[in-house]
Amino acid sequence: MTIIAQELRYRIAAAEPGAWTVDRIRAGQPIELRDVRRGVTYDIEVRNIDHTGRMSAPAVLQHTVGSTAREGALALPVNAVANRASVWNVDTSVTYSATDSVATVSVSAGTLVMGGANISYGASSASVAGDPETKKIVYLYYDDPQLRGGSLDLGVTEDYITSLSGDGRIAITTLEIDFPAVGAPPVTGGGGIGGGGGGGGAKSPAAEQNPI
Amino acid sequence: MSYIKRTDVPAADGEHVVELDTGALVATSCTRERVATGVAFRAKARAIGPDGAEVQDAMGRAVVTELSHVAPVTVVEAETADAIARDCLLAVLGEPVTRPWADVLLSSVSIRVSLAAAPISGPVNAGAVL
Repeated sequence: MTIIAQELRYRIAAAEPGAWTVDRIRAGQPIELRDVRRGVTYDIEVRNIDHTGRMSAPAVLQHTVGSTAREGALALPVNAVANRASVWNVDTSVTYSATDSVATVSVSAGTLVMGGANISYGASSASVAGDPETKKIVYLYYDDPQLRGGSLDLGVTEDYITSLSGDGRIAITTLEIDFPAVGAPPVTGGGGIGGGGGGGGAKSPAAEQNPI
Repeated sequence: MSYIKRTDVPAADGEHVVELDTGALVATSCTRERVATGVAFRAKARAIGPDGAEVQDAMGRAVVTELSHVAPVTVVEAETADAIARDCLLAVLGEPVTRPWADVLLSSVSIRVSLAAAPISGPVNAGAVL
């Protein structure tokens, strides 16, 4: 018999307990309870599943989540020792296509890497209004205080401080948009942001880094 | 690429079902919400079967794509909210759009691409392919 997975189910322990949350974990992977609340006691059952699909009798236990357990950004590994706290993975890109009055900014699906944690975000976009023959620097961000990832609204601001003032504000990058003259063909720009953004923040206008 | 509207397939509140030219059924919806920087258009496409049940990939995950597009009010007034919402819906359906979105964005939000990839997802039988 080969154990290929564990079935985990858990619920809040109470006189009238609620529905079980069920999760299946590959053998050898750490068993984690997700979306639990601090200070709450949970009933937990874990069963082994073999290669034929048969399940063992459950191992039954209770666990109380520590009231001091960290969550959200506080639960991230402290990896910023001679290192960037967080970066976007190499396949993440930010591009734009601008007419004389509107730019469409596209942010690809991407993964924010923070030490051993990876958070995946869906693609998103935004329109930015501008004037012909002008340049505009915008700072892009997501608001994700729980660091859940997924499909989020793209935040756009022309104020660097706004781009980083907010709990759970995830900096994406800085983008310089070039609006063409009236009647001129659209201008495109931008590119990959892999290795940038994230905890490094959008690029400060005073820093030596240039917007993409 | 094309689609037809279907009214004989059950879907959730706020969703409208379309049949793609591939024969796939998709429940699609779009919401608009005022946000700090303007209006957020959130389009969603969800692959379903003839009975309205969700279609899953080979790993048991629902085949769903979403796109959020945020536009300042001045742009919404100039282009109209319905035109932007239509473009967002067309994007998640994998149909041609008028907005110059990046190809990498259109590919990742297209339900057509997700449906094509769905049966391929999952572990490979290395013994069979080597």
